[in-house]
Amino acid sequence: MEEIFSYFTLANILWVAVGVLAGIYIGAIPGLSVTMAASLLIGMTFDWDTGSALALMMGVYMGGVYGGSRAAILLNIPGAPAAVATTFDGYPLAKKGEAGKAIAVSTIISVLGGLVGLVILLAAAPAVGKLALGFGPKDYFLLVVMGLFLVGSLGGKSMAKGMFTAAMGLMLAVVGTDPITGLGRFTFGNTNMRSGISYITVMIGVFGIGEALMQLQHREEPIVKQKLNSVRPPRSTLKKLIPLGIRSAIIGTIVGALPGAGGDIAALLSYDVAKRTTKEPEVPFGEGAFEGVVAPEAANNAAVGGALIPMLTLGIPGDSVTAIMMGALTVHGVRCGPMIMSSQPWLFYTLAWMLAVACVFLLIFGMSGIRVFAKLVEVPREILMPLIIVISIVGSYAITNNVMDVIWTVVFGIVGYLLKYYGFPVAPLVLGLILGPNLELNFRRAMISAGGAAGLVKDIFTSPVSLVLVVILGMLVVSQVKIAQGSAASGQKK
Amino acid sequence: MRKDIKTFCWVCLGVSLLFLIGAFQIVPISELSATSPGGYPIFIAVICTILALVVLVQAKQENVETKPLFSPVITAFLIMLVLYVLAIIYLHYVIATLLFLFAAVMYLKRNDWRTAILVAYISTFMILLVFEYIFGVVLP
Repeated sequence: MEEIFSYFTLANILWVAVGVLAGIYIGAIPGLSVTMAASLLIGMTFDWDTGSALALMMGVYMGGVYGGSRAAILLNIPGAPAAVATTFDGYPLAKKGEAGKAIAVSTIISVLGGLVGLVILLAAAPAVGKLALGFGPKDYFLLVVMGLFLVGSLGGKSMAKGMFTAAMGLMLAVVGTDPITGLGRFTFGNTNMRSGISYITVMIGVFGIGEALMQLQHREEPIVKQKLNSVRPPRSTLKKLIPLGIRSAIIGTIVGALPGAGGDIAALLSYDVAKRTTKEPEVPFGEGAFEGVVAPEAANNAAVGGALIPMLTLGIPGDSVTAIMMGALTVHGVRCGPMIMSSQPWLFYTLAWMLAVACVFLLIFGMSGIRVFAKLVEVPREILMPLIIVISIVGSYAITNNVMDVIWTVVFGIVGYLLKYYGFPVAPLVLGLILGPNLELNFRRAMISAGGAAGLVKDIFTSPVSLVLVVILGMLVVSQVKIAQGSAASGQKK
Repeated sequence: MRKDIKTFCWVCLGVSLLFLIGAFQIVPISELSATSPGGYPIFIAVICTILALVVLVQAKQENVETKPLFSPVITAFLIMLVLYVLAIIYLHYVIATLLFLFAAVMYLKRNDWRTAILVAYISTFMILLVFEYIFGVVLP
């Protein structure tokens, strides 16, 4: 018992607080990202005590995932891939002057999501870990296809444009080295290209610089004054939103527990489920519905707890940040895996209490300073947009200290601007790049183990998990196509 | 003012076809299979090309009052961005950032040099403080 709480000290609690505060601001600043912050922190905490290093990283993780939603709501620039779905309704809310309320709702629901993720982590980690273990390559392949389909169909008015940019993201993910044979692909003999195109530089370019250029085009548009006299949402609104938050958090935890799936798929899936199941929202989804902020925010913070499950129980990182945390744990001589509960139970409970403490500080720091943050929308674009460009460039450089990343960021900033100008959604491009390697590896592994396409199809239809995923995917495709045809028909009538 | 969407869609189709051609060159055709290094890229490039065709067919020219793609402000910023990156590579990050911010704010705020200097100095200082001194990133 003593060993389990050996790291429960005031100093470590304060490090969690510092981490949450730093994470919120890092996640909220366009051009920076929680993955970048985590990778920089590893270097800083090499010679720290294990508990303090973990406390800081957990705080930054939790704060950073939430912080990404602030930039998504205020500037239409998601601070993390998991905040992409938050832009769908968060930014329209800011355009209506409701940024303060949107941030307050997102804070409360993020804390709720984090706590639900923690409860599932504590109560069901071995069971959820076993479920994750039951997922084979074909199941991950189907899950990633589902995620890409969702982002392609939800992100904009035209499904074809969304799917096209997702496919472009998948093509960009091919650039570099073949994951199985090591053969160079689209490298043109350049060694710099062998490591591929980093999704972080593309994300910063497309969302940061691309959005800054778009906003400069329209800088004469009047700045919307934010309604800040009361940012706390009424109790009746919260009461209505909490059940949706809990459902979304459960989806987020389970999806987050699937290695490589992460908060981005969790947020998109929750958004889609919320869109289908919410009867008569006050405002339609995509035009500033609070439900459209609640669902992805609950899911992406719950996915933090979910991502810890495979990390702790299987020794497999749930997402890029947990991959970095595992690296940090290795430096400190700690190994995650199936034997953790018998050999190092302290690690499991330490991360659990740190997650709980992070949720408390998230509520405190998240609810303070909302009015100041919301005022960011009123900063003249002539000052804000050049700053966003500069921070985007330094953010992309800071990851690998390579000027090549800066060049990629600018290139994709221009690509992002072109896509936005012509009405193509940009989120699918980034998510295609993130999920592409996962998709290809699992597709090829599934094909190899099944002995070919016919064998793979047979495996899919004879495995309960795969069959469920195929049915869900089929339903999603049919319903989204019907929705797209319906929108096209009503557009023609007008 | 019209957004020339069809032209952009043709560009997208062209890029997809280039990817397709490139994908066929990854491995010799005799070694091509679903699990070879070239199989998956070809599959994705084909999907990309089909989707580009669908987008092209569905694209409608929009007659909307909108800014040109390369309006004066966008052109100016693209030039400033390129010069900024070159300045980062050949000068120093701090000098490049000071110059970029000063030029950008001066251009946008119509010669309000006081604001431009303030924004340039304060922002560059903050970035230096956070990245070089707190995160330990050695800026170029």
